[in-house]
Amino acid sequence: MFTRKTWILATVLLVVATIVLPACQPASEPVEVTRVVYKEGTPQVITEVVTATPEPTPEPGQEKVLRIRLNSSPDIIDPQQSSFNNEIAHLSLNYEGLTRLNEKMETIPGAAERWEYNEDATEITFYLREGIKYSDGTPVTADRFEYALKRTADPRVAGEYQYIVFDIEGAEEFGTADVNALSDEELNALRDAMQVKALDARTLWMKLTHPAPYWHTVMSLWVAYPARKEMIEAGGDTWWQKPEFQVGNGPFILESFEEQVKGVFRANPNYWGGKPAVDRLEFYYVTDLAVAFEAYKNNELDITRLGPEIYDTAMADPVLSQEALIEPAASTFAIMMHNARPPFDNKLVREAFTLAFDREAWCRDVMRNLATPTLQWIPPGLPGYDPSVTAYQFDPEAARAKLKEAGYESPEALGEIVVTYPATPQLQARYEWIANMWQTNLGVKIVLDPVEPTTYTALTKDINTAPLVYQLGWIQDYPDPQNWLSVYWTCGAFGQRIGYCNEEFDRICALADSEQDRDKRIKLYQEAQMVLINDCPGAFVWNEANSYLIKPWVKGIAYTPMDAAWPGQWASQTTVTIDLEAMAAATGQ
Amino acid sequence: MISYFIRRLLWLVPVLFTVALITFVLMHTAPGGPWDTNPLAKRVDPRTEEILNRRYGLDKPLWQQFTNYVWNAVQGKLGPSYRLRGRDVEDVIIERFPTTAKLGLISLALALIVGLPLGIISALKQNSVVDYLSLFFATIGTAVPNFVLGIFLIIIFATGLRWVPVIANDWSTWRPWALPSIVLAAGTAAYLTRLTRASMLEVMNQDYIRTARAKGLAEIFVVLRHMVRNALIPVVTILGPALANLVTGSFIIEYLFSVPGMGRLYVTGVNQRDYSMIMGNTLFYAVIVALANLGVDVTYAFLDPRIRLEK
Repeated sequence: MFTRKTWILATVLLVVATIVLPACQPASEPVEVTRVVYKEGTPQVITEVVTATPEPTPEPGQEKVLRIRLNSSPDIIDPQQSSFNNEIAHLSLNYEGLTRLNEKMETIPGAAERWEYNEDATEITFYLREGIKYSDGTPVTADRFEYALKRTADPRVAGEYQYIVFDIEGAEEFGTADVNALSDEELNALRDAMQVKALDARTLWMKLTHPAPYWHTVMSLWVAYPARKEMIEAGGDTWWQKPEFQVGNGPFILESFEEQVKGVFRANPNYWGGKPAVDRLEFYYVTDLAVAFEAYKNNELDITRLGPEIYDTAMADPVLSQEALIEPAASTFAIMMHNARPPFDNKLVREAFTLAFDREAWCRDVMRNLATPTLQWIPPGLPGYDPSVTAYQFDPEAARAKLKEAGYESPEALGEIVVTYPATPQLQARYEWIANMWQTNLGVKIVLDPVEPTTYTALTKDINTAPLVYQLGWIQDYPDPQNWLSVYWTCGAFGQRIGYCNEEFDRICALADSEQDRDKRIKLYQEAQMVLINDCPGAFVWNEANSYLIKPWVKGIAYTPMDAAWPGQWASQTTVTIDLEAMAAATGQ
Repeated sequence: MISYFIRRLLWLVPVLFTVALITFVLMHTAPGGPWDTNPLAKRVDPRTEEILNRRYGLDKPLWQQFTNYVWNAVQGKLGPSYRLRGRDVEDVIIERFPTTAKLGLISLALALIVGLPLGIISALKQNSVVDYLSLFFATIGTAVPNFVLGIFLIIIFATGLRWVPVIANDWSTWRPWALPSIVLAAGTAAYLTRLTRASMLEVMNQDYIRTARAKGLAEIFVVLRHMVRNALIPVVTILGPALANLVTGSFIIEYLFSVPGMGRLYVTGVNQRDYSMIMGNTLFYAVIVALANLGVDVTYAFLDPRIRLEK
């Protein structure tokens, strides 16, 4: 009695079974592995069949594995194309630039053991360490860095950080060339005209378009990481997904990368700075913070972010609250006003609104202590930060007086002030607080204008569409006041979007940019910052904090304010370790 | 039958074209572009932005971009992704689709295994304990948001009972699949239960059932061969779109359990204005839905001899 129905049922069951059952098989079949080997210096891609041994469960007492949660899978791990925190976290383990940063955010030698500027800081020469190698034994030579910098500028690559090397002479002409209009030879000619040259195997020279005594700090950035030309060419567009092509010169080696699941690194025993203390480092891409929190409590993760969603729960717990690390980050946020639009084209009005902003309450009540108040743009810990700044501290009476002085007898005369922000639930609550604060302290009428996030970004790009009042922020690219002041607030730079332009500020910045004496430089930047503060373009409100939960058996972390992905990511790569005994004792495994 | 198939497949062409056109227009109506994704003031330098626009052809007039897209899409080239640099949309979809499809099929199987029998038994034993229990579970499955259900299950089964890990380490074993498929199946199972039950109740009172019993047929055969088969018609109707839905992925489930599938591609693509990703995903969904509906229509003919596909 095999009716049609039975056949259908059987087919469906068969289909479902063929899909479900393979998941139940143990994984121990032969696997094809692709590697790049060198025969007389030329790379060849070979494929061999290896019997995959089932992954051994890490036993305590043997391997030190640091498991870190990242909030998303990196979109691309390519030194010359990446731009997001997570991507950079991967790159900085696998590669190393000419210089690096220590726990005080100072620039120290990396692959280069020293560097020299010429008289007016328009040329810089890097001298590489002797005998440094990639993790596969190939020597690291100066031409590798030349390749990296030229590739950064290459319009055929067009990474989002391309512009940062435009200070090298010839880079901008090369970088902005029209790829569709010019032939490869012409583009290559422009590339060769870029003024960065390997003078010999250990010497790299470059010429800058203007005096830039901070350039050695810029050369610690990921755009200078010496990715392997032959591997990029062998691997094609998706070279970066395969660990065999990501052979770098950093303290770790990328062992495996499973998109949206995890990325695994193992220690590089041939790193010049010594083999890292931890054997393996694993990034888990867990998108939801609550899930990551559960995993952390379940001892499946060693480090996770302590976000506002789980802050209360964690801090209320006697054990977890001890594992929290909350430190200021190198980021500043401000509520800015459009300097070219009424009523904020009147400085007194801007001052009124700035004086009426209660930063302490904001950090305490809204940011739940995951932020610290600030009155200036440069964050604490960075050279150029001035602890003596007191301009525009919270003073609601002075605020109201300023408003009267501006000619507005009563706050109603100002009309409606529109405050714009990305429409997310978190920001909704924050901006309602801001609206209430200004309404209470100043008596003005605030209208809230939530906008879809990507639309918001598009709006803020141009001075004509930029909102009347909105949030601005900056997370530094590199720890130098030049990146905070000159890159952001000079006429024509980012600050231009709110109509800020002060020639005096530009003048001082230009002086500071080229000043070779470090102390004089810092003083000049502080002077420039005072000009900015006294112009009162808006209210500088808070420095955000980096907040993490770290298991007590993780040792050797030196936090820097730039640790946006994981604590110790910049200064603790070789020192971070796991205390296996403590871990065994705590987890009872 | 063959000509019916071919006719239906030919209909796909104008449908896909219309879908593409509407999506394209809507996409470009939303302000912002692929380089405006970071609201934190870290924006792409305008010089780099110009280069990127030129390279991807985003500076051409819209009608030209559309015709270029359609011309490439017909050849199976869905364009480069703007967010996932260096990769083409069709490669990303092909790479991630199997995971999502597997999750969807497992969920559908679970939903069917739980929902159908529960619905049938509830109908047969109306107003009994089983019936009220099934109502209870169905209400929970529909009313509780799957995000909440997901976290609940994680806390109970992962952190509490430790039967599965909280975060998936290895998707080639069965453990990571358990919780996401249960959560994904919950809503569909709830719906299937109620629908099957209602449909069965309707069929149960038909004349031909009484006739079959009067003829002396054993009850089990009455149920299986007559009642269930006819009650399944409305169920099969919704199975088509349900399958299409499950197989193309749930954003929330994939987000919560970090499933390496394509469920997130669509929503993140829209947020990030990744034009080719949006277009590619929409077209892909359209094809899946159309094929699922075709499957449903063909299945009707098997279930109900009164339905003929040809006239």
